[in-house]
Amino acid sequence: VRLPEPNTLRTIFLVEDNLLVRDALVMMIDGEEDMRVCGAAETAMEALARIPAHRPDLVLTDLSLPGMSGMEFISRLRDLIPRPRVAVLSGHSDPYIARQAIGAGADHFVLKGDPDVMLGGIRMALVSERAPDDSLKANRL
Amino acid sequence: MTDRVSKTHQEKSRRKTSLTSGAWNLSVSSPGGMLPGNIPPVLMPPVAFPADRQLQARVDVLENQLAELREYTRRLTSELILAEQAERLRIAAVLHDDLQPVFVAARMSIARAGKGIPPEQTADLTSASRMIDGALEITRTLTAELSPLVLQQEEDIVETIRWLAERAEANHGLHVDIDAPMPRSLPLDMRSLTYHIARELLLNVAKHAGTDRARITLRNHTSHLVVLVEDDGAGYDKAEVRERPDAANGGSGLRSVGERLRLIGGSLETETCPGKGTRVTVRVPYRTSLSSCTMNHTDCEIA
Repeated sequence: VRLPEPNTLRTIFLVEDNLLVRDALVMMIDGEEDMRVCGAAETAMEALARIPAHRPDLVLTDLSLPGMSGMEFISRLRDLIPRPRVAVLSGHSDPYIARQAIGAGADHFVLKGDPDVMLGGIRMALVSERAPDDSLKANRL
Repeated sequence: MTDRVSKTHQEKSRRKTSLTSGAWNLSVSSPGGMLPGNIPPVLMPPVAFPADRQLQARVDVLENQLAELREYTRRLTSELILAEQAERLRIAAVLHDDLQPVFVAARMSIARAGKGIPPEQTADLTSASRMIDGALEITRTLTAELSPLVLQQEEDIVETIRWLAERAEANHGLHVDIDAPMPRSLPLDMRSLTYHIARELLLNVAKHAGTDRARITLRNHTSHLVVLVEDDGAGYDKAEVRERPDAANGGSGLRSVGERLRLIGGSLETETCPGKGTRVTVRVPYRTSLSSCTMNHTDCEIA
């Protein structure tokens, strides 16, 4: 049974349109003792409507979202509620995308894939200052 | 008698001239076409005869048909470039939106399944994880190769070229200097074409030139963008490369690209020789010029 200390438990709001990935992320995060998922949304509009009430420590968002780009979502979220940290969780290992996301207001960029790497990136986003992800690997030409 | 023969010869000469051109022509008004001393030839007006007019009309019809065919080919080629780009986008979307999430979810499922199991009993899970990581890397690489996001999001081709240079440095240790004083917005199909050509040329430098430096110059002209890709590397003998067995089948992806460029009014020319480096000049017509451009017969030499 997972009984984390109240003062160490961090809350995460997920924005991910792919059900398979969203469910796997919820199980992965809820399987950790120091974090839990407080809510999840499939679209950016849904997330913008629900995040203020949840007051999460971190918003973990995909960039490919229906109806509104992830970049626009981050900008609008920053205008709406400045408090939560924002980490982009993306399948693109392209430094250009990471720079775009950071420029739009994201604090961290986490590459989808290896769960240990993802959890490390999420923890870093929860506790540290904004820093670009150095785990990005540029693809071959 | 001699005068009559001379006049008949002149007449034949005029008729021959009027067949080949409707413009005024230089005619030699002496038998045998030779002028004594330094007397200049006389400008003679063309003389049209009924048979000549019929022939000229036929030539005009054929020339019009040829122009229409060229325009048709140009439009088809332009549509082919658009279709190629659309297909790249589609495949990239399938890889990123459909295939990659399955790998990501599977990777998390395996990690979850391995929790609490002693490490010595998780060899198969570890092996499966590595395979999935490899598959994920392939999908990422393919997605970026087929249609990098910078290409889709930045209308300025200079931004895409800068991005390409960064990747060439990161992945091949090829430092690329860029000389592009002005931004240049291009439609997606032309950006895509320019990107894929520049990428192919940089790959050639990285693979064959034996140097770690290259230079890309972008220049805006009225009707086209000029892309120069240069290196001070090994260079090569173009004739020798043309004679290689694979040359007839294209030899290089650049050959087909160069042919398509030529068909839409652009060109791709290579200047090189052993030990002297290589310079490739690519001319990409702007979209606005595609609807009215005429054929450009610039020789397309692609090694």
